[in-house]
Amino acid sequence: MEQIVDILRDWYDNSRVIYAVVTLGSVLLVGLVAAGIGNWLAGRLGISTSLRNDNDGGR
Amino acid sequence: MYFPIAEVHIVAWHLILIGFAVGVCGSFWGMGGGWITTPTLFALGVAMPIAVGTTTTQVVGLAVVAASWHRKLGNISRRVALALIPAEMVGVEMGARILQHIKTFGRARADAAISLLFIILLGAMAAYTLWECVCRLRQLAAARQQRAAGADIAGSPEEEQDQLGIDLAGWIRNWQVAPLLKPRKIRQESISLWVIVASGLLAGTVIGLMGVGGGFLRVPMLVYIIGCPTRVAVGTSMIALVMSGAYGSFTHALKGNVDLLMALYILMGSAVGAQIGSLATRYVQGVGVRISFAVALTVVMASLVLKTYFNKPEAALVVIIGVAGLMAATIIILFVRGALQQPRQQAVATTTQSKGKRLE
Repeated sequence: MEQIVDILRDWYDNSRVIYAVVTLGSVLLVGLVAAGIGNWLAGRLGISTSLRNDNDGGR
Repeated sequence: MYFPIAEVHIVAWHLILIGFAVGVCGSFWGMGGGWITTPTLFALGVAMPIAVGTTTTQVVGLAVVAASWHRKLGNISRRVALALIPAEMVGVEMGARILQHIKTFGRARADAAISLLFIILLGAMAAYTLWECVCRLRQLAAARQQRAAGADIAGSPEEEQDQLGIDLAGWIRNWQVAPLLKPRKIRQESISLWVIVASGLLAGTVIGLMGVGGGFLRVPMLVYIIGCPTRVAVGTSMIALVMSGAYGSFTHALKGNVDLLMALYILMGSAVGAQIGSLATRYVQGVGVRISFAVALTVVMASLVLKTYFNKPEAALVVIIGVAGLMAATIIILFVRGALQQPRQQAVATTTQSKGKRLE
């Protein structure tokens, strides 16, 4: 963990572009993985998403 | 645990739990929950500019999770999102540059300036949303009385929640200047592109400047000005948040305002919470979502006042974590109750159908 902190601190101090790319990439990756796991779990648990909220907004 | 970029010690589990509560509440209300996370980090001792950048970053991951659910549920108006996103990106850059300028004032002044902006925005939003909810509830009560008296009113009470209501923003909505868009999922026939662009610029500037997802501005704008039903506003807000938040995260990281490790810990909790919050929107109707939103806005504003003007960080922390926890617990209960009732309702509907066939 300390090594990860040191690497991040090094990028933060010396190469801000790499730090920014790693930042954005890691949060997108965590988000996508979490969405995939959630999707899979919901399917296993039988939580229905078949009744979509497709309406015309009351028009 | 020590976070070297934010230069604070915070227990990692606390960040994960805060993230979970914010994830549930944020995705339920159609926003990243940045307006809760930024003041919470500020109350924990993080400098405002770092709190802003870190919150913007964790909000992106949260928005990816929530947006994927809203897409499945059919809650997204693609045309509105396509017009909104580029305008928001421009706004984000403007906001981030203003924040950089505020940073040059020194930490104490920068913290005070951004806190004041938060208090003004949260207060205005809370007042407007509460006022609108009260008016809408009165109208619903009047409609029910008319129905009880035998008047012919079409539609269910749930539909009325989205159809009735005050129209303070109606004059902006009716500003039909070309080019006009005709999104399928909004209430009126068409909306001027310029209205959506102006809404996006405003929301984007708030994202860049205050680290909030822009949802607490974007959702009311989508409902009141653009005319989206609440659930479509929530879903469209989330997809816009993914794109503008990603840009905001990148530009803030370049400017040195992001503690990635802290953002990832919060995201671990919020990624789980967001799934529950997004699904809970299936079981709670429009006006209920907005009332809980207005109450939470008021409490978060009170927490900022406690920290900034009364120098009571502990009290501020208790207030803000208390409201987030309470709201998250309520949403989870509603979700579980709704999920348990759904199979029963489906079974009743199936039985009724089969009885009808037998009678035929």
